[in-house]
Amino acid sequence: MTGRPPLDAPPPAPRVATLACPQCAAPLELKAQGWAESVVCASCGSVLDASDGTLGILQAFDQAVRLTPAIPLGSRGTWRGVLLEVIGCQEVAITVEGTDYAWREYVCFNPYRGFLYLSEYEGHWNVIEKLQKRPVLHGGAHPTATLDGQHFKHFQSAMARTTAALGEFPWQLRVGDAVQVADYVNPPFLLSAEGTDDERTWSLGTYTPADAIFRAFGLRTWFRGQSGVFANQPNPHAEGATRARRYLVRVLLLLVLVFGAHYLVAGRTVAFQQRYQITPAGTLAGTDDDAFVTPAFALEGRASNVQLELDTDLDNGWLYFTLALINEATGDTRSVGREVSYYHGSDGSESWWEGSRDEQVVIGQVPAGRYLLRVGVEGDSTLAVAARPPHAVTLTVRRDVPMWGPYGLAFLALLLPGIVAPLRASSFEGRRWAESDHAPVASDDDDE
Amino acid sequence: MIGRVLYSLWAALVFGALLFVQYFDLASPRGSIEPRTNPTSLRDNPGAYRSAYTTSGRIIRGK
Repeated sequence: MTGRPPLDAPPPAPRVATLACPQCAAPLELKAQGWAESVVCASCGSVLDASDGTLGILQAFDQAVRLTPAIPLGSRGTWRGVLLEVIGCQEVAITVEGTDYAWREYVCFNPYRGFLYLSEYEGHWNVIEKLQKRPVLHGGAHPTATLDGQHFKHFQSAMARTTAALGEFPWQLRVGDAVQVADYVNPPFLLSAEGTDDERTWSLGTYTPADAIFRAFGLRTWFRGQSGVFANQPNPHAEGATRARRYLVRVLLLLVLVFGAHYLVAGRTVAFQQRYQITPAGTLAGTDDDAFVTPAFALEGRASNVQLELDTDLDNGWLYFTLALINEATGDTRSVGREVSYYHGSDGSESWWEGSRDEQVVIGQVPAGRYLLRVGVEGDSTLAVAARPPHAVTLTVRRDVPMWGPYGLAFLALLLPGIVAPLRASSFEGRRWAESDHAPVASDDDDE
Repeated sequence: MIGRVLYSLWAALVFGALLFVQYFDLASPRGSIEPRTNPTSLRDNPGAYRSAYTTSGRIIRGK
């Protein structure tokens, strides 16, 4: 609060004076005589000089003030242990792109402690104290201000004019007067400058829930509903977003650790490996056989997967393999098929390729035991191709190969709840800054 | 507090499912189950075995 008397000085005695409006003769009661600089007559709207008790006319009007404060003048309430009375209310408006945005400011007074101000815009309330010191301003594309180590971002600058007033004010108020205002935000605080470059007063607003104001002043009629996001309204999703980010860091780190541990402990043991010469027509070199059986090999450990790998030296050709994994003891058979094809060439100055010389296929949940592979091969039996030299094909059977797909799904599943709160927080900030001079994009449809 | 508990529960569920899937090898494809094969006769005549289908559904050409 401002106007607080020095601690070593005795508090001035509260004085209440009843006077008459020189314009309309309506009775006027001055609650802050000796403090108030101007008073607005509720009957005729004239602005009177209250600084010397003579009530000289500063601005003459002849019709009643059409301003209904949400907190009626004369209301008393206790804020942070200080009894306050609402003695004045003014409506202030700015015009942005042809649209008027108006808010109301309330003057609260305690004869021993001075003034405190409240402001209300679209149901958003701030408790405002005038500052005795100036913040440090920093220029740049997005100007900032620093006050007591706290950094505030510039939000909006505009010309604000008083459009209506009622009651007493500790300054020489004029309806219609306009001043330059600039707001800097660091929720829940709002640092505001008012005045000219030469003479500027600073105030610090604190975003305050409407129900706290309502309860403090013991009101009976609830304020109008809240809409939109106010400049210094605390982001209700900020805490959730922080918690979500902490969660994401932890779980993704854990996922990487599990991934690494799995990679280290996975066997990837080579159970069988053999190199074969296979003609382009799909027969074993030197024979007419288009199928062959590998020697038996052992698959050990618990039931896990088996990866069958085909590494070839194919060059502009293809081979199709049917691989049947057969349990030597039981005859249980599981088969898979894979085509290996690799083509390349050049199209003018650009080279191209498609396919791959290598293929892998996994068969899951294979119990331990001795197994053999029956390999069937198909190829291009046209004479021109079949006459080419045979391909070297290395067949490898690898036991217990890590499957990375579940890690991808787990990553997405873990990510999902972790991004909701940050997205909501980000959306809230987007709506906040859409109303500022620093809106990321021009938004015509954002009506909040 | 509730959010923290929900996050922990969700993470526990996801990691539990991940470990379960990995341990029991539920993510690997099974391959096409074929009629039982006699390995001895197969060795004698590998060409006699004919898989009905591959995993891709492609019909193996018969002899």
